Amino acid sequence: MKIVLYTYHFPRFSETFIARQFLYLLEKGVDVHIVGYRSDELSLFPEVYPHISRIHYLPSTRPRWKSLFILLYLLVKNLLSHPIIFFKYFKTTIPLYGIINSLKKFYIEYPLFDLKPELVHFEYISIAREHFHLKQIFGFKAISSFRGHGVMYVEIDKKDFYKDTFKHIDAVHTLENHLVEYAKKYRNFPSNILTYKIPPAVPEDLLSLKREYSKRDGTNAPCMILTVARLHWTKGYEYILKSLSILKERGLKFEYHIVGVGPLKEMVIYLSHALKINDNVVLHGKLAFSEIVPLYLSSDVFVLTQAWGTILEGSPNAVLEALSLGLPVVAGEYEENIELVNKYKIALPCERRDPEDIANKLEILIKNPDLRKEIGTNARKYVEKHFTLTKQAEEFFKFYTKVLKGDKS
Amino acid sequence: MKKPIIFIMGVDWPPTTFIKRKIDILSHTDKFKLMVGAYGKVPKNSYSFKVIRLPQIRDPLMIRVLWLLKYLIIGIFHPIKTLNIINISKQYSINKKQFFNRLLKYLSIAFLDFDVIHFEWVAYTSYFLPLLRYLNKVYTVSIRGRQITIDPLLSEEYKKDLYEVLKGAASIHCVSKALENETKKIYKDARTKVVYNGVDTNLFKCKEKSASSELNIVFIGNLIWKKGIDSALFIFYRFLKKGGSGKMYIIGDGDEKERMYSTMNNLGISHNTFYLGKKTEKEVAEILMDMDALLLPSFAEGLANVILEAMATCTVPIVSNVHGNSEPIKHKENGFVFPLLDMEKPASYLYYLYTHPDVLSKMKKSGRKTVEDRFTLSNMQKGHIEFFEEVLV
Repeated sequence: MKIVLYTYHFPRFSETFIARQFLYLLEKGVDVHIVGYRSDELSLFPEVYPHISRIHYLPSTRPRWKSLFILLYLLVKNLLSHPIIFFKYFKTTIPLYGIINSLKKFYIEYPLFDLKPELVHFEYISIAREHFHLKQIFGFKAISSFRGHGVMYVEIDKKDFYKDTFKHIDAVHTLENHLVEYAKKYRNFPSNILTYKIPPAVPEDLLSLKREYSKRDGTNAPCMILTVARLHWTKGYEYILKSLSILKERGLKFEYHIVGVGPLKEMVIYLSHALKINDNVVLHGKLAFSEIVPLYLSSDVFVLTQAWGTILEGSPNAVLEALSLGLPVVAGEYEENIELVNKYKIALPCERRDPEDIANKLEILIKNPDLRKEIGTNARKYVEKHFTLTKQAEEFFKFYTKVLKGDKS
Repeated sequence: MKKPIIFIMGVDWPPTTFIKRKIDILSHTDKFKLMVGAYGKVPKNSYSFKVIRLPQIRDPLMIRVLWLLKYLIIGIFHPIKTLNIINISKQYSINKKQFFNRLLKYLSIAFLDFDVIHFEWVAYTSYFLPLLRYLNKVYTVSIRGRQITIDPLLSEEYKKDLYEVLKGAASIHCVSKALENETKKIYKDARTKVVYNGVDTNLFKCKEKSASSELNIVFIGNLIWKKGIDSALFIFYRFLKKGGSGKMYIIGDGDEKERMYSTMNNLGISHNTFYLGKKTEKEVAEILMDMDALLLPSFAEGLANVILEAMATCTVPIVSNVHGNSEPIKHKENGFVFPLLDMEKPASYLYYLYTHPDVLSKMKKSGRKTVEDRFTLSNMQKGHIEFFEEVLV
């Protein structure tokens, strides 16, 4: 099974799941390769180093003169080594994009000439949109992931933005059911494409890490509240910060730790001051996963009011990581899942944009160390049962096999 | 007797609504002459004031080189001044590129004849401070919003620069009392003067509306985090959940447009929420006249002009109580204010207006009266003229 994972930049802190998927597929004996731009975060992923030859970094487009020479070299090289595919490539792309844009596309797609994969997994629907013509040329099976932003908001005012992409993909991997329903409603996603839900996963070793539950209750000592997420509007930081100001007004002591970077850093800093909780907020910036784990283990509550995502289906990753490390979670949840989350007692779901509700849920956890322990323990068991990387890798196997066989059921 | 010249510096052309308004009213006084330093393409219209096109970093290098040559030729007639400016530019630049751009910008105003130079954006002033000190020129600044409310929190270096600018300014125009307070937190002896913006009450006027069973709500503002479009949509959603009925219209553009659409979809309110895009001042006035309430849950504002415009058109403002937003509003009389990021209160206020059309009607009229009493263009003109007169004295 020869698979290519197509992504933007690799590896990235905010896309740890791709690195994990890559490593686990390798462990399972899959001939897996990655195509994407080089990120500056490789140092955060030492486990990826030994497999660097399987990562096919795309050349930079700057400076222009240099990229022109690289392009010429690549054109000659691929014309000589893959003449038939070479002509097929330009025969397909020139009518679609014109000569100049075809050359630009070639510059970022040439690794496939050597790789000749059986299956290409575009990690985001937006990447699939840029490269869907490759399927016609190479004849591979194409899968795209529905992860969130590409489905939920990119060019969301254009309902047919992915129309051509959907025509060319064989199957869709989705993290959660809601994304498929949303795509059907707002993206004209056709019902006849195979969709396969594989939720995010965590490595099993996280589940065995020892966790001590503190007795802090916000009156005797400040409770430690944690969020691990990009500083981006999708994460709903403004509502968390407001909820914390409510907790402060209620006389509770806490420290709020944020791990992540992003465009809304200024908003977080400003609101911390405007809501008079700046003494309680600690911004850690970007940390390696190995540095975040101790924070998960020493915190009392995890909070994330992401614009979408579901505790029950283990998304986003940071929520899943918190659950796996037994850290009680307050997070947004779809209405249809709330009952089950409460029944399993694995987290406290909240209304995503309601600071009062978020504060109430946080207060319950802060004031009840025993409840934190109970919920945290349940959460760990729940993750162990449903969201381990082994299970995920098996599911990807099944999925890839199914797609390669042409099974659409 | 020669009239003093006020030089309004660094106006992006075409100017934003409030700067345009300010230039307009300042150009209609016989107390002083107005000169405007503009960035961008300035059309050759006949203005009642002098507009000077200034070079900017966005100009192509070749054009900038030509600008510099022009200034250096002028500089031949003022050799000592030119050499000193070259030295100052060198002193404050860390590389050749910076030196080139700084020298170009400094020379572009160094040979102009003016009595007071006014900066519409305080952050921009510190760049020119070394030159102004050398030229011994009187300068004034306007304080509008994030440059005093947000940026000082983000950088200590900026805060220090700001302190220096405020300390040296002959007078500081603040668009609200709240910003005056923020200014004095940075430099307590700052010579501040509050001049509120004014509204063209002939353009922004009330219209008789036929009785409707639903509330027309509008959000106007850039779609950026400061303005809280996501919160506005959630508040509207809450209002509907309470049993209210209405439509929400959104005017503006920005980074959070995708967020807006995504939130509309996720909350299931896309059928009664309408995105109108960016509109001209005239179009805004037309739209506001058909509205019942303005919903503005901003996180930071100097004093949003749109609040005054809404009141002038008999649209009841429901706004977050940040900085100057609450200054024109008498809570529950001509509008509502609510705490920052409170989602429940504004939804309740909307519902209250929806269920109490008599109160709505009364508040609309009260808003208009507030503007007529305190926020007219003539008040604004008087304020700005006094501001510069005091400096000139």
